[in-house]
This record gives sequence, structure tokens and C-alpha cells, in this order.
Amino acid sequence: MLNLVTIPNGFIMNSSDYLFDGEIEIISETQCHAPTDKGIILLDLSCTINDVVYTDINLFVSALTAG
Amino acid sequence: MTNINISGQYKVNGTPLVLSSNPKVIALSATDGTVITGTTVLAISRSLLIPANTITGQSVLEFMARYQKTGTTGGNSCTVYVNTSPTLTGASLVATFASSIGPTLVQGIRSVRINTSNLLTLQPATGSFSDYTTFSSESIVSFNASVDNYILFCVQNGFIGDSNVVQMARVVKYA
Repeated sequence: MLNLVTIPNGFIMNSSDYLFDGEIEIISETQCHAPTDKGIILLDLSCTINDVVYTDINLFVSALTAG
Repeated sequence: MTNINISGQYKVNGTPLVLSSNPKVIALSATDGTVITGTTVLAISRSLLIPANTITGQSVLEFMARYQKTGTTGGNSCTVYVNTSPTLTGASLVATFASSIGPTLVQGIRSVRINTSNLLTLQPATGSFSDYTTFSSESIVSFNASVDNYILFCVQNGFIGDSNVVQMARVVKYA
């Protein structure tokens, strides 16, 4: 399971920092597009955020952008 | 007709001769990929592998695909991602061929340039069958050529009763 660690205005994934450069778009009930300085990244509910599991994509996006 | 068989290794001043071509087809598929139906979640219909170290230095990567959709009108999308594993989680969007199309066949071809650790594409979220049009900006995607990379040809149904499949796909390198 891929764990995302939140940082100010972004997140860490696989030891790389990603900084948001646009608004996250929810594309399905389990997936979203996160525009970052390293491209538009597909994230879904199979990821944990700060080791927390989410089952709602809206709560997932809120947690991702709360850093 | 004379049949010539070439075997063994030919060398020039001790260096093995290697046959190569430019451009080079890295991977292709001419058969149907996974049929995506019964869901409106974005899913992979076909993935093609770019083996580690296939791309060195500066290159242009060209990828094309033909998608077939059946079902209702509108609401679905045909997209392309890149990832270091054949999964969508954490994948980077590199192109959108089409969005919100009806029952039809869609074929597109897009190119990206690769400089060292970056893949540069033209507005990946903007639907376009080719790069021969106007875009307002280029987008940077992280790319590590020293590991396996997968080009993921994806579809998202607009309605659960729709069906989508990638009928053929190809990845070509120019270097």
C-alpha cells in the first residue's frame, strides 16, 4: 500500500516531494487527479495518507490538502 | 533464391556490431486489451513496457492507440499515463486523446520529449488526438529511464453499462 505523507502545499510519495500547482480534481468515487510540480498524479483510495486509510474520496482529498 | 544465415558475433576492432534502427518500436499490441465495463472508475485496458535503460539521454517518445467504445453517448475518456509499475496508483497523466465521446472508434497519436529525468508533454489533461494543434503550455512529468516504465492506455466509462477497450497500441522511440 502506497503511503502519502503530507507536507505544506504538497505530499511525499516514494521519497519524492510533490508540490500542488492546481486544484485536485475528483474523477471517480475512488480516484482523483492531483496537479503537482511533477505532473498530474493519479491517486486513489488504495493509498493511505499519513498511515490513515480513507474510504471516501472527498475526505481523502481534504486530508491530502490539509498539510 | 539464396537464403543467408547470419550467426555468431561480428566485431570491429574488438567491439561487437549491434544492429539498430531509428526510430525503434519499443512495444506494440494489435490485439484487444482488457475490456472495461461495469464500472465508471478509470481503468487500464492495455499497458506496454519500456524496459529499463531503453531510453538514454534525449529522446522523443511517440505513442498511439485505437480505442473502441460501445454503449451510450458521451461521458467517457481515453487517456494515457506513465508509471514504474503497471498500476494506476501514483501514475502520471501524459495525454488525453478524447473525453466525453459517444459510441465510436477513437485513434490518436501523441509525442513527448525526454530530457534526462523529465518527460515533457503538451497539456496532458486537454483532449487532443494529436500534437498538431495549439496548446498553451508544456507540462513536466518526472521520469526515471533507468527503471522499467509502463505506458498505460486507460479508459473511463461515463456510464456503468458502457464498454471500452484498447484495440491496438504502440510505443516508438526516436533518439
